[in-house]
Amino acid sequence: MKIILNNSSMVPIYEQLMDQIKNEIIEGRLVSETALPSVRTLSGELKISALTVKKAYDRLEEEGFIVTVHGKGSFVAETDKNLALEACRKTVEDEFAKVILKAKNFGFSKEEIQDVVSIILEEDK
Amino acid sequence: MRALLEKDIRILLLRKSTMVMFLVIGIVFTWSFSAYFSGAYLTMLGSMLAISTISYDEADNCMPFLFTLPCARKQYVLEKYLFVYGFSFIAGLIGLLIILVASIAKGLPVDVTIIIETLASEIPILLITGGIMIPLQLKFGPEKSRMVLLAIVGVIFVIGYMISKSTYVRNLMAEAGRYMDGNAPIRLFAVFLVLLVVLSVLSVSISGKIMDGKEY
Amino acid sequence: MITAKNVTKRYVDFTLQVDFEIPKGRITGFIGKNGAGKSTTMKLILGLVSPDEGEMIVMGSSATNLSIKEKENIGVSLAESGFSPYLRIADITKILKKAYPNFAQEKFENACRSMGLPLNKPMKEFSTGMKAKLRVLVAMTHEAKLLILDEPTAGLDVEARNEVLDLIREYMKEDEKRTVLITSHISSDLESLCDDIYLIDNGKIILHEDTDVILGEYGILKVDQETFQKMDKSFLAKTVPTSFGYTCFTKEKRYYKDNYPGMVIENVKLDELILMLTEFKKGENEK
Repeated sequence: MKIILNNSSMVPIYEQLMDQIKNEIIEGRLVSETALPSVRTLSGELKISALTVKKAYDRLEEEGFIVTVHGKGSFVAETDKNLALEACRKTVEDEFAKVILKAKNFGFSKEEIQDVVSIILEEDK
Repeated sequence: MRALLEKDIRILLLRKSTMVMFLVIGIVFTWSFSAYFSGAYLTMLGSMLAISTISYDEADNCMPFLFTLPCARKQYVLEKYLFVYGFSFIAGLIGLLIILVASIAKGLPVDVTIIIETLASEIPILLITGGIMIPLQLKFGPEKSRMVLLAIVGVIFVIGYMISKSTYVRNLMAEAGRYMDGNAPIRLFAVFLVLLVVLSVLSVSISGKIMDGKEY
Repeated sequence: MITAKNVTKRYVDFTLQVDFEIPKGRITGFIGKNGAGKSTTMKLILGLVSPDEGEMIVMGSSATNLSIKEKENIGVSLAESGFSPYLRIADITKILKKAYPNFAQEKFENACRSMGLPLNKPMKEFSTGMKAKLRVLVAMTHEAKLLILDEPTAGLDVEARNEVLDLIREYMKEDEKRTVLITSHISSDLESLCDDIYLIDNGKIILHEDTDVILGEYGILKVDQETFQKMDKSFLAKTVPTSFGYTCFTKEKRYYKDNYPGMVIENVKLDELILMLTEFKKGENEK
C-alpha cells in the first residue's frame, strides 16, 4: 500500500488517507479480505496520530470499503466495483455542488460556470 | 531493594583499587606497629566507602530516577543501613582475620578475648559512621554533613572532657572499675551491641522521615 | 490511566494547577516553554513531589503511594537524571534485572548494540545523544504499560531525535494498550508522534486537543484591516495585530476557507500556536 500525505494541504489528513485507500481498493491494488495495517502501525509509518488513522478507518467502514473485526484488525471489504464507482461519483458530485454554490454566491450564471469547467478541462488536455 | 543493593555493590566495585590500597595499609600497620590496628581501621574505612554511595546517588542528580524504580523511599533508607552495616561488618571481619593471622605469625597468644575486644572496638565506629552519618548525609548532603559531623564530634569531645573533669564521675568510674573482671570485655561488647541496635532503630526512623519529606 | 484532580503545587515564584485525564492506549504530549510546568507535572505523576492540593491518581492509586507492582509497570526517562554516570551499561543491566521482573536483558543489550552504545564504557563518556537513547531504552525494555518520558529529545540533533521517536512508535506498535506520556519543548516532535496534546503555560493547561483536530481544523488567518472589519469574527479564537493587519487563530479553518475565497489561511504548526496563545498577553482579543 503506497500512501503519500501532504501536510501543507488544506485537505485534512484523514481525508487524504481515506481517498488514497479508496483508490487502492477501486483500482484493484487492494483486493478484498486483505488485512490493512493496524492503526498504530500505520500511524507510526506515516508519522501521524493514531486517532487520524482511526478516523479514516471508521469512515471507510461506514462507507463499506473495509470491515473491522474486533481484536483482529481491519480488512478490505467484499466490494461491488459499481458501488465503489458510485461512491466516487458521489464524492465528485458533492465537490461540484459546493463549488457551484460558491460560484452562484458570486453571481455567476449557469453558462459562465459551464465555461469555467470547459476551460479547465481544455487546459488539462 | 535488591536492585538498590546491586547498584551500591556496582558503585563500590568502581573503587576496587582504593579498597586494595586500604587493605594493604591495614596489613602493613597491623604487622609492623599495633597488633590490633586493622580491626577498627578497616571497619571505619569500610563504612566510609559504603556511605560514599549516597554521594554517588546525590551527585549527577541520580535520586529522582532512583525513586522511579520499583522501590519505596523507606526501602532506599533500609537498604543503605543494610549495605553500610553489612559492608563495614565484612571489612571488620577481614580486619579481625588480619589481626589473628598477625598474632599467630608473631607468636602472640590468641584467645576469644582478642576477638571480642576487636569486635567491641568496631561497634562504636559503626554507630558513628552508620547511625549518625547516614541521616546526616541524607539531610545535608556530602559537603555539609561532614561539617555537621565534625561539630557533633567536637561537642561530644567537650562534654566528655567536662565529665572527665568532674570528681563525681571520676569516683563513679573508679567504683565501676572495681567491679571489672575477666568478663568485662564481654559485658562491654553486650552493652555496645544493645546500644547499636537501639540507636540504629532510632537512626533508621529519623532517616525515613528525612527521605519522606524530600521533594525532587 | 492517569487522572489529575485539581492538582495544585505551589513554589515560591510559581504555581502549577492542572486537571486532566489521560486514557489508556494513547500517546499524549505535554508541550510548553521552558519553566511552564511540564516537568513539575511529570514529577507529580511520578510521586517525586506531592501536591499541595488535589489528587494525582496513577493506575488507580495515589501517585505518591504506588506499590512496587504498580511501579514495575511504569517506565521512566527523566531529562537530567539517571543511573550514576560512572557505571557502565553492563552494570545497569544487572541492576535492571533485579529491579524489573520483566526486564528483557537480551533485547536491551541487542538494542544497545544496534544503536552503537558500548556496554563496557562508563556512561559519562557517552555523547548527549547516546545518553538520551539509553534512557529511553531503559524505560521501555521491561514491558511497562505506561511510559513517562520527560524531554527525551532535549539537546539532540534531528537524526538522533528521530531515532528516539521511532523507538517510541515501535514500542506502541508492539501493544496498542500501552500508554505513553511525553513532554517536549520541540513541538514538531510531538506533532508527528502524539494523539493528543496539552499546551501548558505558566502552570496552567491552556489548550488540550487531539493532534488530528489541531492539524486538520485549526488554522491561522492573515487578513488586512479592511477585510478584518468586514469578516465574520465568531469563529476566531484569538486575534493578534500585526504590521499588515491581523493574524487570527481559528478552530474552524474550513468555515473561512469556504466563505472567504482568497483569504490567506495556513495550517497550524504547534510552534505558531504556542506563540499565538502564550506570547501576546497585551492587547489581545480573546473570545
